[in-house]
Amino acid sequence: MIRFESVYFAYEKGKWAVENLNFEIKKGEFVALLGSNGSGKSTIARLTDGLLLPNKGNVFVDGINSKDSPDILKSKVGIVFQNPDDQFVGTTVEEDIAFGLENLNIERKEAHRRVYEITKRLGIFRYLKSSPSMLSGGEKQKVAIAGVLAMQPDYLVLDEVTALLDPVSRKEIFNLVYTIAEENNIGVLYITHISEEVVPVERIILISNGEKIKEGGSEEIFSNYRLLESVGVSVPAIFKVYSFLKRRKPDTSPKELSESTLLNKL
Amino acid sequence: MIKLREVSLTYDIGTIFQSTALKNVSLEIRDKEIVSIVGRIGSGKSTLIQLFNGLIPPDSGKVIVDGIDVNAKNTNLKIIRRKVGLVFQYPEEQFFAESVFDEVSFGPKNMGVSGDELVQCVHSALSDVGLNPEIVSNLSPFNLSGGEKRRVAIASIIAMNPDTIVLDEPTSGLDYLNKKMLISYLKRENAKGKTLVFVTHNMEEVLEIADRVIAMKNGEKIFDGPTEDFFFAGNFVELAGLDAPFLVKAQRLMRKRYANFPFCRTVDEFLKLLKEKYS
Amino acid sequence: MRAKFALGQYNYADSFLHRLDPRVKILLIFFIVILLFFVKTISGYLILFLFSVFLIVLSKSNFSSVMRSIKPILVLLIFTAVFQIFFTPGTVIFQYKFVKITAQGVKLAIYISIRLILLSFFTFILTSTTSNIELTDGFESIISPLKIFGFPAQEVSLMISISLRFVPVLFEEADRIMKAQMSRGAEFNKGSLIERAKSFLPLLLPLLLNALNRADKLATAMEARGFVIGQKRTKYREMRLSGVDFLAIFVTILVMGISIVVREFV
Repeated sequence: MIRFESVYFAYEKGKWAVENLNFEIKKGEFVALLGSNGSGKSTIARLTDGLLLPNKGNVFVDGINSKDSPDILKSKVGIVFQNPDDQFVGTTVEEDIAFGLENLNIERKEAHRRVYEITKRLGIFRYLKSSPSMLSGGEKQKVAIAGVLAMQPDYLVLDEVTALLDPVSRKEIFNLVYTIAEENNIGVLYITHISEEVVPVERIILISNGEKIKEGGSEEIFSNYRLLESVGVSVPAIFKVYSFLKRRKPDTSPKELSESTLLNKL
Repeated sequence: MIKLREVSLTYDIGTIFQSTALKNVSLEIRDKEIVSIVGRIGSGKSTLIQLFNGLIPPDSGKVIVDGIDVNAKNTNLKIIRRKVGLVFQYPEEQFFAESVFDEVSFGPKNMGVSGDELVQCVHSALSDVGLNPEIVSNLSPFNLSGGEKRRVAIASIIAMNPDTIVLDEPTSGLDYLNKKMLISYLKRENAKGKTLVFVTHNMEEVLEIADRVIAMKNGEKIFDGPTEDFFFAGNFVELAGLDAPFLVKAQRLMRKRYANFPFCRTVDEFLKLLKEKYS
Repeated sequence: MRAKFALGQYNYADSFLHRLDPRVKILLIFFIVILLFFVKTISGYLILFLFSVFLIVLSKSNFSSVMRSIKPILVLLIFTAVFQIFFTPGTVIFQYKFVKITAQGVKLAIYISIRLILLSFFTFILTSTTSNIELTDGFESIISPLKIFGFPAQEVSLMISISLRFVPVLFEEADRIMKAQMSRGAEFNKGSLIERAKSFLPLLLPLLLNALNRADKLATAMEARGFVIGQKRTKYREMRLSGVDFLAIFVTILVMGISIVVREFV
């Protein structure tokens, strides 16, 4: 379990980037963190794996305090960032995915096995010998995700991994991460500013100015339009249609918040 | 007015990397229109707009801006670039000046504007994108927020006072409020008489503001017509390899159910109509 | 467009030379290049020339790319050759007013041209059959004995590999920024030398700033993937000498020996 206990963090004195933050992510759970640009999302991502340490409060991963051993946290929690181009180390896809494994001192045979397995699972096996810079944005991000998944983390933090992608690749990456996390019982913190993306997520944490504003399912998070506007997050079109239908047919349940079921109900 | 006549372009001819970027594309951008160019990555959309101001010459065919052949030998490209202002993707990555004023004045200065006129056009460009020139002029462009940086970068093109503003993915990476703001400023530029061309993969934006859509696939133009037709006269969105947003799918359904269901650009418009239909 | 920058001279093919251990290739080519300056006879050079042609055929490269590899040194070649022809003292064989050409000058010019051409042939053979990763791996292995003196061989080779990986990214970015500034009316090839130098500022400064920004993000991403400077890492790729390597070493030494001892027969 990842646990934030009244966490405070500031880059400069007197200006909290994260303020009194409390939340938990269990192993195998998929949690979304939603907030506008500059709301403190990336800082939270870096706090989860010991890249940053809290000024006040504690971050625990499976009972280990990030202040005590940030290095252990890094092997337990994998992070993928927004721009894949700024994450590649290797001149080929294969070499890049192997980078983390080399750092973990994984023995060669096992490393090869893992690289082949993960690239096959993500559908990027045929690019193994290509240069990452030749790939499209979505494929690049798959390589970056593969590089972290190969390290077999217990938790995965995805820091705006789809923000620079086109909607088609965005959906693909989201669905891929969702199913792989489920298959491998990985706890996920999915960070984004795009509210449409997190509609199907069961637990969403809405943050603004480094503080948690609300936590809950789509229904609870998106129903207060005015609040969302004030924190710079949009109300997904699909949710607006859903609430419209709910007003007319009160038996509409949040389970029906998917494109196909809503269209049937229209 | 920008005209492309049977333009073709191939990259890296004669090498193993040879790839066709554009195949026999003809199109017109008429004055004061809002045109959206859509397509997947590698469809040729970004190449297309670099032809508009003569950054890349085509292998064959003609590019004509206000009657001037852009790639003719005696054409002064500066004049073309003043007429057609091109904003690249992530334009804030081109910043180099110490102050916002210097950054925005770079374009008009290169075009020979100076003195009071220069100050005037920098200030009005900054106001156009919702920034107070008095406050931001002396700030470093590097210290602004992401959304402000993007707006300064766009102001640096507006300051050259182009007739046409061409933007490559102008809202990419921006969050909801910044996106909304930027779109409203761009719409205002159009209302003031500027032609607007924007490349995007965001169909909601196309639906919201475009008068006309040009869809590209594998270097070929596969659709050119009114926005309404692009979304509802067939399955052009899917043909272009793009994903129809929920609002489009919902409208398609209602159009099937009710003849003359009007074209809605936003979800709020759509819900308002729905309310009328249902009651 | 970007593909060109990405690949350098490496030719994706499978040949005898591609299969050689990179360390063997690097060392052999290194010694041949040194040898070039000790060969004193035209026949010696002829043998080396034939050897290089033999290797190029063996490497399945086409001759047009070999010629392309010579292009960049052509200016240097012509300049030094002309310089030698006119300014070497000795027996005058041609004189027009104050321009004198000496026999020694002509001979020297020929030698230098041959050396430069052979130099680029042999380096071409190395770089067209050895990928960037193999080159850095080989290089790391060769300099690894320096580790006993505290030299950070692994870090240096990782650094080289990362720099190589960023070359295509930088080229692409330079292309984009240049076009963007041209769209703002910038001109890069007009005016006096100082004006020109100044006009490059709007290109170089953003390029530099973006590179620094990238480096910063890359460092964070590397840390997140468990990289710690100086910490032991396993090697994902394996280099092992095999029979063909010994054959290559034997043949090369033989050719080198002959080219040194051969008598002039012209």
